Amino acid sequence: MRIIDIGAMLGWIPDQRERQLPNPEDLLAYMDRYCLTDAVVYHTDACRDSFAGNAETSAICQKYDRLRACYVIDPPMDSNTCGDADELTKYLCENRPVAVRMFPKSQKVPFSSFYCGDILEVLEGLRMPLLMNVGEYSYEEVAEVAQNFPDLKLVLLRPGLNRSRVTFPLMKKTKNVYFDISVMLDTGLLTEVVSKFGSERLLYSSCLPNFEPAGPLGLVMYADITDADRRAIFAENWLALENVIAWKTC
Amino acid sequence: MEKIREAALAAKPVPVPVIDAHTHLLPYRLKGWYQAYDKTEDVVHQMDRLGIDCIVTAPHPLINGTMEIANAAAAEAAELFPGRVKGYISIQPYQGVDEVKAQISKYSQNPNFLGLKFLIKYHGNLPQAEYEYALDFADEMACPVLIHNYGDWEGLQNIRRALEKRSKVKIIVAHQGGGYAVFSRELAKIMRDHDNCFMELCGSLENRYSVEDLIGLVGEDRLIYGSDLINLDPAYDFGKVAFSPIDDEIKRKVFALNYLSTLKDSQMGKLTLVDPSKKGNGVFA
Repeated sequence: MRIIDIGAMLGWIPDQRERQLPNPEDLLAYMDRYCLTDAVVYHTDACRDSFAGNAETSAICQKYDRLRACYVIDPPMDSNTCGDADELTKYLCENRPVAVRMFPKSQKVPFSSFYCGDILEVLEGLRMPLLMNVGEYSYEEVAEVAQNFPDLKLVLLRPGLNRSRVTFPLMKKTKNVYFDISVMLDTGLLTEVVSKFGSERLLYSSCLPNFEPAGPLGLVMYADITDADRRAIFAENWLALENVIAWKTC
Repeated sequence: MEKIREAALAAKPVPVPVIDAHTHLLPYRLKGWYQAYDKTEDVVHQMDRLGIDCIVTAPHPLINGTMEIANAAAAEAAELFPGRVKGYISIQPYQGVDEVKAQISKYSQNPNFLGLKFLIKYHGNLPQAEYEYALDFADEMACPVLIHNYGDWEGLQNIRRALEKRSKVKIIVAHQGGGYAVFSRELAKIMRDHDNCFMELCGSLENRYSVEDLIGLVGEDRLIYGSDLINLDPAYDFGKVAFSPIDDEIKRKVFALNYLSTLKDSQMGKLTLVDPSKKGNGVFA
């Protein structure tokens, strides 16, 4: 079975002693212990210097075909960390990551149409999935951005425990918000979401190496869903997102 | 491939006895908590799907109801699902020591009750007269006491102090010591000093340690599987054990044998492994 971990990371984590997988060989060996076939990865160096870190990510992913590059975009647009809209578009089309991440709260900028809209417009135009860690957004911001950029694929990583009451409206009222299931731990929630809304917008992540893959594997395997839903969550939904990225279709 | 992981990868019940040592029946929807199902028969159905043979439960009225409501609910569930559901005597200090004594007196006579459950922090800290009484009782009975501890450093130190005075009670510290790796490391130190202290797994979503890491900290004989169902979906912590790259023999210990070891000398209710080749009904009595 193909299992793509969409939330993995390379590089050092300064505040963590439990698990460090800074090198691709370490990450791949750890993935093998849990039967993960592929990972979408960004590099922690890109949080410090996005262009240099993204270049490292690309170099690694070119060498290891089980790893798929995710770039970090550092707002604001028109700054030397991001470039203008044409430069950002060219940068992404030339380098061809399969996804991007932003860390707005960490970068002290609201995740909103006003503050990030110019970047979001580029990502929407390219059909580039945007991955966001829990804590980098509020649910009000997610709803506002999802509605204003209806073709932007917004992927919420580790959206958190006790979030059923926001998950349902987001599933029902948007078509472009996706959920990593890794901590969808409210009792029976994964089964209920699949039965009510389908499995198309659910994705597998462990957020390696911050956390480990076994718990989320259990959630998917023992949810009361079909094997087709499991295959979708583990890999097919992510591949469907990748396959429509602009640089893949032109 | 090991048989437990093979079953898990096929979404089948694991082929070994499983006791879920930390559970809560009945709904709980305060402060964002949510359950898509909450009836005990639905819980047993989920148990069958995963291969959980028996749960030991302190029903949710433990949190803000009365001890009698919680304990009566556990007793009823154990009667309706013999061998599948056992109970903890829920202890709520805010009801006062006389009521704690009365509840212990009543439910310790019921062979379906295996030990006690404390919800510290929700109900205040451990050194309270009611908890001291209950711990002394548990020490006399050499039975397990499952103690909630999440994010509470002082709570762990209070547990250490309780262990310093008592050597027969089996204190099972829930949530890997406190939900985060730093608490697991601290609990491991306490466990090195007190061999009647155990670590229970559930609610590990924020703990960076894997099951194999936790076994490295506390040894393969002291880690106990629990899921916190129906507070939490049991599949998460169940998966942490089932998919862990450790031998099946160690998983058997975590899934059931370590919990059974806490009952070995106990004078409270027993859980007997009757037929390990079965699943569900008939595995335990």
